[in-house]
Amino acid sequence: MKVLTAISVFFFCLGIISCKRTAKDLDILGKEYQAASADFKVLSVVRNRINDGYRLANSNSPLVYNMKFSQEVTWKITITSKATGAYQEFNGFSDTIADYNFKWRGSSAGYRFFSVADTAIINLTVLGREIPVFRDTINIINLPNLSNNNIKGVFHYLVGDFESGGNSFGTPYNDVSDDGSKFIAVLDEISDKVQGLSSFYFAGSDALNPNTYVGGCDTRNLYDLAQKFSKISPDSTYINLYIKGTEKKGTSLLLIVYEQDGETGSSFNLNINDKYQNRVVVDWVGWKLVSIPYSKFTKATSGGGLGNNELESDKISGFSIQLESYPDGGKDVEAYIDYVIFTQGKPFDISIIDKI
Amino acid sequence: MNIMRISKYYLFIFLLSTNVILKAQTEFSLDALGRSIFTNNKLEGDSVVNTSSSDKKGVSGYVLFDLGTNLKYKDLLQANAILRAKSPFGAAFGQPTVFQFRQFQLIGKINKNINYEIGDINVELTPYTVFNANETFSTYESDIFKNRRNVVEYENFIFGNVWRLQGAQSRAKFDFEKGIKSIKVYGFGTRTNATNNTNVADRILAGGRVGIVQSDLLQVGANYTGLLDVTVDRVDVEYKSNVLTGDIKFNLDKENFGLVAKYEGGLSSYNFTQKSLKVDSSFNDYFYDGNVTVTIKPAKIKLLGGYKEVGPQFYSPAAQTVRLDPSLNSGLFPTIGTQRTQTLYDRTTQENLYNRSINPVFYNFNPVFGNIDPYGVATPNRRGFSAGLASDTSFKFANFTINYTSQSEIIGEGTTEKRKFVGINGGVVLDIAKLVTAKRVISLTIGGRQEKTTRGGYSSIDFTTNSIDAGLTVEAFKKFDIMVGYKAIKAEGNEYLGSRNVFNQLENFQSIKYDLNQNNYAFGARVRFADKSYLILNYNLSKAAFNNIEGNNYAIKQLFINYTIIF
Repeated sequence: MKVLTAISVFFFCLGIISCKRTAKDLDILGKEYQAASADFKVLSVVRNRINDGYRLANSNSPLVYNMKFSQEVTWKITITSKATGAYQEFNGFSDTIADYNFKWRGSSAGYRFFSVADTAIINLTVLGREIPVFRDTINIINLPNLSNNNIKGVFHYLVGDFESGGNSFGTPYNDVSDDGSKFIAVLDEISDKVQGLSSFYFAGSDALNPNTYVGGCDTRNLYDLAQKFSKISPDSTYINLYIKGTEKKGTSLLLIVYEQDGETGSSFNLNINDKYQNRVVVDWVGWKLVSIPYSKFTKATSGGGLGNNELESDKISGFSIQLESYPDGGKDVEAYIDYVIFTQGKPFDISIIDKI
Repeated sequence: MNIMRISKYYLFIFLLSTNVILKAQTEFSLDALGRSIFTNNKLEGDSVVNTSSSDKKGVSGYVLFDLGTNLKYKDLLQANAILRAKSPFGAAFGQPTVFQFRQFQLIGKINKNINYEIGDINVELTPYTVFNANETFSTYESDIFKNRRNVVEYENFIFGNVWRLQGAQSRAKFDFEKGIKSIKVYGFGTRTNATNNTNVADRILAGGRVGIVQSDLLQVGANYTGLLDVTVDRVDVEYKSNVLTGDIKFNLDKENFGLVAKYEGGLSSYNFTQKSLKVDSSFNDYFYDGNVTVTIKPAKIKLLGGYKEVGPQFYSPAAQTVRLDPSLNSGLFPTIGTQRTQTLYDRTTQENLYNRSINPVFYNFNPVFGNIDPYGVATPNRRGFSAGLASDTSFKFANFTINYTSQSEIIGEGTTEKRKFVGINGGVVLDIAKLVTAKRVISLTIGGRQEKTTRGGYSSIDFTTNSIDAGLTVEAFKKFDIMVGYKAIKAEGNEYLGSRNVFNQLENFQSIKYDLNQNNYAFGARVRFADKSYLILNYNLSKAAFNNIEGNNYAIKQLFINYTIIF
């Protein structure tokens, strides 16, 4: 009987601890939704500008509608680029649409950004109806500028967008012991890109000198980014960039950040300054946003970096990207890069531009 | 865990060398499965007429040979490896033939109480902890379709409700003379995801059970399963899921009646952290499930009844991961203009649709094939009872079951209104040969399922599915069977399908209308050479009609030959 008593106590105890339900006070799981009834109607629609040409820059107004429905309903506004495939979607549950539940300044879902001179097609659908209940078209004349801007507590600095005339990198360099004829580091306008008209294409071979290193490129000077960033925790400073992996397995990108420690201004000496690195193994196919906290960078394993050996966001002064055949040396490797942007406060998220 | 990382090839070399060293004390045996599949396929119908971007006919198949090698050293160590050679239909000069290890296991005994397995292991605990739930109700499937399903299940390591995983497991049993009869202890550890040594962590599924057999009358047990990340330095995602349950079984066996009462209850805790997004998501929930089976021996029947509640955020990945991935593309005519939706025929016959890994996030599911328990018994957000009637095993010439289920959601999904589910399923297998005292096989199978989902309010739901199975197998000549089978499903109404985010939380919902009929007919013959060796030739007609889109219907005609030898 002692055993039976012990068993009973066990189940009683289990019963007691079992009575935990995080969702016990919830009325609804997931986002609330409601389908349109048979007599649903869009009662009124007013767009905030009559002209179809839309300036969406920081000082201009975003796209806003004032709509009134005959009932509360779950709705979806989709915005699709006519030229690039950029896409954005807003969902809501209400009987009105106004600037408190919808405004758009050019954000996108997925990797592709909207572009200047693009046409955006807007469709409003409601749950339970297959055909859009409202359609519209606008022409994008300009878009917000994120660089050097603090938006909702997040500071942005665009390091490279790989557009001609924009911020860009200096002359590429490669492992001279490898086959230089296979090394490519160029702006690429042919394949799909994240932003604008071009991305940056990196390719090369590590076959002749299988030391993993293939080549790289730096910001034009290793002091170009000096005094751009605040003195906040390296946990809150992010190195963000879009990387496109291909079928060529074994590609890695070594991201290198330089800090000015022993000098300021237009000079940079690796014997008195810091150099930190973080390796990204590109084991995916297609574009992906990579955001790495600066605190995850470690002291560079080669090529100097002899500063005070402390990660200090406010001393960031330069940036490099190196193409590698890693973890296995000796391979032909390639990757695309676009929109390198450093942020402080949060990782980069393009949807923040709608909050300007 | 290092042992797990040793490649199978090195282990095989170890096995061979062990064979040499221990040759005087070892036993060596071989077993094998050889199979040749051939299909000749044709696609027809309104959907196909104006589409140039799909194949309309083709042949496919393969030949495979699985050689099982078993090496046994006394009772202490046993190693088995299944080596596979597989050649797709049409392979020339052996070029595309693939050689691989299908299975590798080391089985050993530490002492008379404790044994272990390393390598490919089959893991199953309870329906709420580790359980590979059936993908649809197919208990009363005809022999001719069951043969197709058997091939699919063999290729995907579906043996009952076990998950085939890689790792190690151990069992121990200790007998007692007083107080209790025995204690059984079971533990396992497997890796479901491998680290890349930079920013992706190893994911480990581990668990076990302590079971106490107090007497023939009473058994109790405690079960644990954890799916956990082993953090590496720069990992962005950390995942933890723990499930702890207790179960009790009461078994009374009297002359005229028997009673079996089972209860399992427990809780889950779930935590998912994504550092780059500074998101930390945690949920706790619980479940309980009790059922009673009363056997009335004179009447040779069983009465079944049960009640369960599974919390809306009860997460148990190893019990809720489904064995079939609805998003995968059928290998048979994968496109008709666009991706072809999986049909009942695809789910029964296509090997490539099945999933072999434990997934921490629920797959989306297709309610046409089961809306009451789409993630098995442990489907979250369900509360309700079931009742049924079944034949006892003493019923000689027939077995049958009929089950009624009534459940509802505990919390509404996307609306305060809750779905209500009513389902009835069952079937009968009639051994006509025994009934008429014939010596040949004459077997009739009939089964069916109906599910009805309803919900009120603005976002109302009225969705009904009906499925039917029927089949007849007649041994026309000695070891020569004629087989016919029918398998159909019909779905009508509307539903709202939710998608889940990485934290397993329901997000957006999509409204879907259904009006579809799928009818599958098969007839053919089977020659049985030996107990498990046979040649089957059958012809199948699979018709699918999606009536809410005009002209969206097609038919697949398939000649299927399966030559299998097992020895």
